[in-house]
Amino acid sequence: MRSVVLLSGGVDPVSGRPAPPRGEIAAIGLALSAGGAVGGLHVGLPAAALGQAAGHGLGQIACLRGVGDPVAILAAHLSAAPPDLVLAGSRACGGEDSGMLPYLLAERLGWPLLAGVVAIGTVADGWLPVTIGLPLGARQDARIRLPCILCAHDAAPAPPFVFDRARRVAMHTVAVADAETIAPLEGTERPYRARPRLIGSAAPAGGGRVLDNPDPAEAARVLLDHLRALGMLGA
Amino acid sequence: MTRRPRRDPRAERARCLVPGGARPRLARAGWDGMAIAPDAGPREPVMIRVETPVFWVAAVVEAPNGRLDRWARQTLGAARALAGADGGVVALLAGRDAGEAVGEAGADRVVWLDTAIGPDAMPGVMLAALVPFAPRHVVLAETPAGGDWARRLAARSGWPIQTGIEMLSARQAIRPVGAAWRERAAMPARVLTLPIDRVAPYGGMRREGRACPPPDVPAMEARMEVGPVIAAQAAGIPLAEAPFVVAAGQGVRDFESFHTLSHLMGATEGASRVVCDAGLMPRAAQVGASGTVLDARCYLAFGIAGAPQHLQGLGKVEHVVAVNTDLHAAIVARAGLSIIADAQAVMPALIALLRGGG
Repeated sequence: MRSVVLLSGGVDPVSGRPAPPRGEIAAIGLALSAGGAVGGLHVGLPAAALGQAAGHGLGQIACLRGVGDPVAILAAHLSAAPPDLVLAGSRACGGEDSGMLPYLLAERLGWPLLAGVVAIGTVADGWLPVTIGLPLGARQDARIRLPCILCAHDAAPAPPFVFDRARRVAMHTVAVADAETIAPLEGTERPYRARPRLIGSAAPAGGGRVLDNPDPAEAARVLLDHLRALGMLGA
Repeated sequence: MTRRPRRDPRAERARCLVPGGARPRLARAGWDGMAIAPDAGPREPVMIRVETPVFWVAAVVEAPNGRLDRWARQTLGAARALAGADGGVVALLAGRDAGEAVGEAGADRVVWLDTAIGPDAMPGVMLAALVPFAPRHVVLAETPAGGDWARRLAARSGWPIQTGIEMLSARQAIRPVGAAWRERAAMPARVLTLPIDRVAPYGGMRREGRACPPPDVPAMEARMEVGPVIAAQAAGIPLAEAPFVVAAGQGVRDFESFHTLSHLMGATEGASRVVCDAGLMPRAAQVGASGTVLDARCYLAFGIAGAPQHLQGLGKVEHVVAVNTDLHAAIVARAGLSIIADAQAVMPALIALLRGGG
């Protein structure tokens, strides 16, 4: 099985220094757990964050040097020699950060896509079993036909960073044909201004219902009815 | 809408003057003349109906158990704000039927979507459902499922998308870019996704929420199969992401009952600092400023007074239930239901009721 991990040259959201996004490190972990050959793929010139990503377990990274739409460049490169599995993080960190690239790529290649993957199993009959992570610790089992694109969950287990691997990574640049240009982004860009979230939406207005010194059995009944109405107790 | 009687400031001012209005009236009996006219009795519940709006705005809301949560209401509120006075809001309801709540949250039409078809078929079904409305915007919540559907929809249809919008009006949508060091302000795109607590829910008069026929599911090749959602075992969930937390404070002495109860309820155990300091619960269970900040939907507190440092740990909790002996404890002000009683008496009663199948 041949896996390709899509890498974006990201920055750390706190320090602003080059660093791979959390989800891409998780994607490298998933690719390594699938076994077989694993390679990194990046559109653009070699960036500092790529070496750091490689430190988590990538032997080689191909940088595609071409001008134009990165989705078109990736699609052309991947359809020339299709891998079994393409893995990506949930979203980049430092660019437009919309998380659209894997979806556009899946649509262009006609491959299925699953997001929020925390673990992958072994291939059987052309189907790959995966586990999807949901909020509040819930999990969902799924299987997907190969070749496919998987977006790793940010909380999927991350392989450890090894400095020597980051230093030894073989980064080679591949010159590719230019793709169609993408339309310039609309609107204006400016430094981020933190806006307060809505407050008071979580707390009930002016306190709730109070039962003063009820009978224990009565209190238990009211409490269970209240929890059932909130949907916290199954039945 | 409220039942508060409406004030008529002109009539109130006229009552303060002598007949004719030449000078102020001398009110010897106090301000009884200022009394507000009695309400004309309960009014008919009014509902806004929209037949043919100028344009439509769609909102995709998730209601997995037939309830609209805060985020879903905010998504509908954002669609309502984008629709303004001329537009109509169509809600694509993914999950179980939520009844009148969708109309109250601001939807003029409701189309029910079956989530069992899986994420791969979702954009096709959503596009089929949106065809009769041709919406100007489609608003989704940036939940794992909602964010996934939004991106699939945008990729399939080629509509421009803006994700994670932090400020939204009909003229402008502002979203963070560049690792949230920069922001981009632009006209709202066709597809929009909203994080939680960024747009206020709809607070106006009830809307019709008329049910529309669900779209046909287009046949497609099965490329993936998604199984049912497996809820996490309560004991295994980290406290920070547990949905339901039962916590013990200094008012709990009967820890046998406490552990039995949390097991029967399927809840994760938490504790106050005092209980952790005393070694009665592990330090990892501590809720509050120096412990864990919860992301739970419901928090059931036994014998916890609610020190400010503890209440900081309840930042995002939607529903708080407190069992406490002190009526004036701070947690009673935060709780949706407070029971002023001894935890040692209430816990065995709860266990008996849960074991008895009541």
